[in-house]
Amino acid sequence: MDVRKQFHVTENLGDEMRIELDLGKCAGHGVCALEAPEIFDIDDESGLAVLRTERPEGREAAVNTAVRGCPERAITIA
Amino acid sequence: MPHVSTDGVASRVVVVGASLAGLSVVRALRQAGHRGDLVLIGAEAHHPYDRPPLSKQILLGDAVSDPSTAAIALAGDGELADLGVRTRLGVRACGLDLAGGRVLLEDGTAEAFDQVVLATGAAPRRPSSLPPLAGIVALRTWDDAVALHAALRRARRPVMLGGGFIGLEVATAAATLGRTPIVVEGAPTPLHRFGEQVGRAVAAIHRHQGIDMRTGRKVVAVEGDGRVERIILDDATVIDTDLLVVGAGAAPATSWLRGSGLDISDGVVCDDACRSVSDPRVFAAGDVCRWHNPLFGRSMRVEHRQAALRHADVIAAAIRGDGAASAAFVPYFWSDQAGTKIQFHGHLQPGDTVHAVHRDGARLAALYSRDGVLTGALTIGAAGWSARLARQVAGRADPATALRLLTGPPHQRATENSHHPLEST
Repeated sequence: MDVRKQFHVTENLGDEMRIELDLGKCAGHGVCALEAPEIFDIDDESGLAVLRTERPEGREAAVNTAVRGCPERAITIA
Repeated sequence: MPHVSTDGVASRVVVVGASLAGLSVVRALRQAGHRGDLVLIGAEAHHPYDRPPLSKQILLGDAVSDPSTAAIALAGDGELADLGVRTRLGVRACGLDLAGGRVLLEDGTAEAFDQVVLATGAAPRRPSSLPPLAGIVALRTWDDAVALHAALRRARRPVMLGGGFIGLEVATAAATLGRTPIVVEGAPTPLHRFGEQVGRAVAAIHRHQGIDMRTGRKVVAVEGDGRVERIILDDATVIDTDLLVVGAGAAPATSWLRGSGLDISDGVVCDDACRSVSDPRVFAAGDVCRWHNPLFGRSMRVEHRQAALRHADVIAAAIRGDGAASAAFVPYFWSDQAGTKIQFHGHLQPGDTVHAVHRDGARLAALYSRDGVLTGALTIGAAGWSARLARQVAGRADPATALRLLTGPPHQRATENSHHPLEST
């Protein structure tokens, strides 16, 4: 089973910002889905986070809040 | 030499409390560009660590010798050095001298501040009726958790006083370690403030894993010779026990602030920017902070991990001069019990209505409201529901609308998923 998803996002300044969501750590708190609902959701079946979009432009602050807010520290920005 | 911050003030900030709230204030200040001196004072000798795992993984023995090397470490020497924060760990603050602008420490030293952030957390309540016997313990710190893990492994018959979240998590750990714990709860069910149906569902989960739930029972005597040996309940039941874990809630750790001039009636009383109503140089974060949450129009104090992070962001913004900084958010906590996750988004007050309970197999959701507005949502084993309901609480939805999201046809759910109340206003 693929427990790790990655994708690339682009910041406004053109810097590359990569979000990694470690589903091995995710416990379905949903803090990410509350902080950045355009980016994250909780899947009904698995109860774990999913990435909703690969185009989060303008939402970097919310993504950062989701990263800090995740109780399992399952989200990282590379 | 102090740096001059971008707003022209060489502000020296002292943070009292080196757990998640205090550390997060330091991080948030640096991230916001604060260049002034930072001092982080912590009563525990350990580096900052995360507390929720203490009553979960750590009680099961997922422990190593030191929290700074364990998975629960929040920051090590490297990050603390990068943050440019001077740490005073293992020394307790014992007074706040507002006139002199100083925090007084137990070792006789003092730290001068331009702004001070109070993040001293909460301490377990110990009912005054409990005698001073060995074998009666509470859980708050890393050291407590390591000691309790060892005690649970040795105990013949552990008893939890109180069927709240901590008591139930400790009971879960005890059962996992092969013990047959007893939970004594005075209310008719555990977690009774969340309503009868939630309480009964939680009790059933725990009975199923072999925990002996004595609900509706009060302890009338605790006896032993030097060490706890037995407790007596109000129905005259005698329970032999060698380990009594007190889960009677926690009180904000503000006793050291008595006489300082701050309003500390159930926490440090603050405005919506987590700034003390008594002194504009003083802020409070985390468990100790009683702040006005504009989203609910209420003053509240919560002992949740996520609130500490929010407070920290708001305090950093306020210290940096952002007059619009406001801690308007939906509090969240969770509890892992018997392999099931209980999640709660919102804030309950006595008198809130338990509006509806929805079940679907093992999943359960309970909604709470006041004056027709959703004030909270609790779910058991239903993370997907929890996330959706959190948005409804944030959006001040009415309970009927929120309930329809759980019961309506799939296309309705899809519509809701693309609607974000946080962004709509």
